[in-house]
Amino acid sequence: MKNKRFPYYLLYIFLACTGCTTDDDGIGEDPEYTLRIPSHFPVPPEYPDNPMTTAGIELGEKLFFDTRLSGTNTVSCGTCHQPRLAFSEGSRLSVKGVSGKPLLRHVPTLINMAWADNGLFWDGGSTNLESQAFAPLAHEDEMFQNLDELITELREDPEYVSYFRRAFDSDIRINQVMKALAQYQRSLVSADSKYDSHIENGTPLTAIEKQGHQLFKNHCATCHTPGLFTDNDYHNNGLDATFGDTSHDEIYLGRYRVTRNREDLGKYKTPTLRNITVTAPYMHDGRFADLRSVLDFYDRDVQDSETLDPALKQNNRSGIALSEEDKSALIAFLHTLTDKTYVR
Amino acid sequence: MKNYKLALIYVLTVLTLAACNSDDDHTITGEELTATLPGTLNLTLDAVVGQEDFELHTTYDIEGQQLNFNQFRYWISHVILTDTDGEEFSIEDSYYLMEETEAISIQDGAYEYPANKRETITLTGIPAGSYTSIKFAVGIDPAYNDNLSLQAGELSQLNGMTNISWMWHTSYIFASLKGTDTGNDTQLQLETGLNSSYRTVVLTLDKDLEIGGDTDRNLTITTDIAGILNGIKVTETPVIGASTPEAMTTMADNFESNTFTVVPADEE
Ligand code: HEC
Ligand code: HEC
Repeated sequence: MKNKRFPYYLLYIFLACTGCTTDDDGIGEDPEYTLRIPSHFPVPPEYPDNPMTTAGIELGEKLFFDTRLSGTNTVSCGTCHQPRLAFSEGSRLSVKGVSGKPLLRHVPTLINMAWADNGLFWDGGSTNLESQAFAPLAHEDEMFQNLDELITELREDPEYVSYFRRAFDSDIRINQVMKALAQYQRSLVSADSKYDSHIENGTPLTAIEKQGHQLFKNHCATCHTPGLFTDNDYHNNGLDATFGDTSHDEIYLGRYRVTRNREDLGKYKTPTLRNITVTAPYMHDGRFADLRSVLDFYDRDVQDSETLDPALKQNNRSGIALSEEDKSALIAFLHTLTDKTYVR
Repeated sequence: MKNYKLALIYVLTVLTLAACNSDDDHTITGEELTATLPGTLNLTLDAVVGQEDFELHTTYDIEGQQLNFNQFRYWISHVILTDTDGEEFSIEDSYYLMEETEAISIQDGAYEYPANKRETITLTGIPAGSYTSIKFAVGIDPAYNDNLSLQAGELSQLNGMTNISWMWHTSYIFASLKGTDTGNDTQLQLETGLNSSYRTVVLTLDKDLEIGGDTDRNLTITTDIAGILNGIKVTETPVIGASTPEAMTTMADNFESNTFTVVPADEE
């Protein structure tokens, strides 16, 4: 009998403890979700303020593809970040926002976002996914959503009400919309390409892919570092020689806009090369239509400037000398980075 | 039986919660009781321009410039009171938006934030004691500034004090002064933000402030807009923000050292 008695003092301690802290929103009853960490990937950062749960990710996915998130109810995150294009958009500068005006930068892919811990956007102007989503939601040329109205709209949908309850044990609030979107994007792991099975299981590469792999290690891997194929850092890869256009809040000055450090003029975040065959056109302004043009650029057109990365200024020349055969081999290798399970 | 136990838990919990805020553990006599209960402080940040009271739509001479404002808003956060023993008491979740503004169009007109004047904040649950100084920050600390999804105090993305207007920066605007330079008929938008503008202000009170018990205490601090603009030539920088780091730093430094003054207790 004695043993069966519920230890009420435990409940008391529990109540007293929760009483003293002021943590605002809990996580729902859902168990924590375990992010898949491929063996050849670095250890991802932790996100203690927004632990991933299955319910949170499901909610985030629903929100990501819901056009009600835009002021006109016609544009969702998925309009510009399309799964079949590895969450990119396919045009140079997208006109798919609510205003129909071209955006100032090319839509990047969303791949292995859980590892993107050194700034978001091409210049790193946003610090994390939880904050980043406010930019497209609010921007007049993207989704132009009244955030108050959005919450009202979502609260009218009983399915959302129960989703938020499950995911966050709370009613619908804008900060949880952000958290759910972040959880969903962090769950997007791409690591099932031919390259991955080569590294993990020894699946053989063809002769030309092998040749390309070697060239890649020699010339590209310092910035496009495997297994993420990005070093999450900022470099000037020589697209432009001068940076004089200060219009649009200095968006054309690259990372400088964020750090105000002259050494960062013209630097942009290294994009991942995973699924690169489906994400044309290329670069922060979408200037190259195909991979051959990118390689021609690295071979012949790299522009010298004070901030050009030293890796692209060797042997008394700008750029990377590549023969036509080298280019074909590199392209063959880049094809091994396409993950058919990711591109749907 | 069950009810009795639940009631007991309730009583114990209430007592413990009360204990969260008090650090005295000597036995309290009846008379001492009310005096040692936590008290309330009404903190007023009174906007002024030099010696004059600040009002919207009034032209002031600031450093020889004729300036007229329709918006003055700033975040204060991390309010801490220090007592005579040097013990610090931090007000939890203290993020307050101080403002005097006409109606604001948010997100380029998507919706409107109503005209508002807010100069006083009420700080409750302050442990009884004798306080000698107050400390607070102007702006939002990096942990919260870098993550707009964290919620605390009055932090909100819906009031136009996030820099959604600073394209592609997703963090808070710390302070914003808007209006006109009537001399040149130029629009002014003078703002601070980004972690580099976060400043902590420490002010010593002229007289110890006894807080505790049922009587609210008042403390008034003036916020001098002429001080915020000390050394700033609006003809050179009618727009201050992330793209004018030097002027923004000057403004942030002014918030730290040239803006806030405690009004002596007997002049209130
Ligand atoms: C109208 C097209 C459009 C819509 C809609 C859109 N985006 Fe984007 N997104 C972009 C563009 C363009 C960029 C690149 C901006 C830059 O770097 O300056 C971008 C960048 C991003 C990035 C940064 C990726 C990185 O690696 O740095 C994330 C994350 C992102 N968007 C998520 C979202 C989410 C979440 C939504 C919905 C709330 C959304 N986007 C809606 C066009 C769009
Ligand atoms: C010094 C670092 C560096 C080196 C070395 C480098 N890159 Fe890049 N790469 C970048 C950066 C930075 C960008 C984005 C530049 C921009 O958009 O402004 C980029 C962009 C690209 C893109 C376009 C990706 C997209 O999604 O738009 C491709 C493809 C690419 N690089 C392939 C290569 C190949 C192949 C090599 C080796 C021959 C290579 N890079 C060497 C830094 C580098």
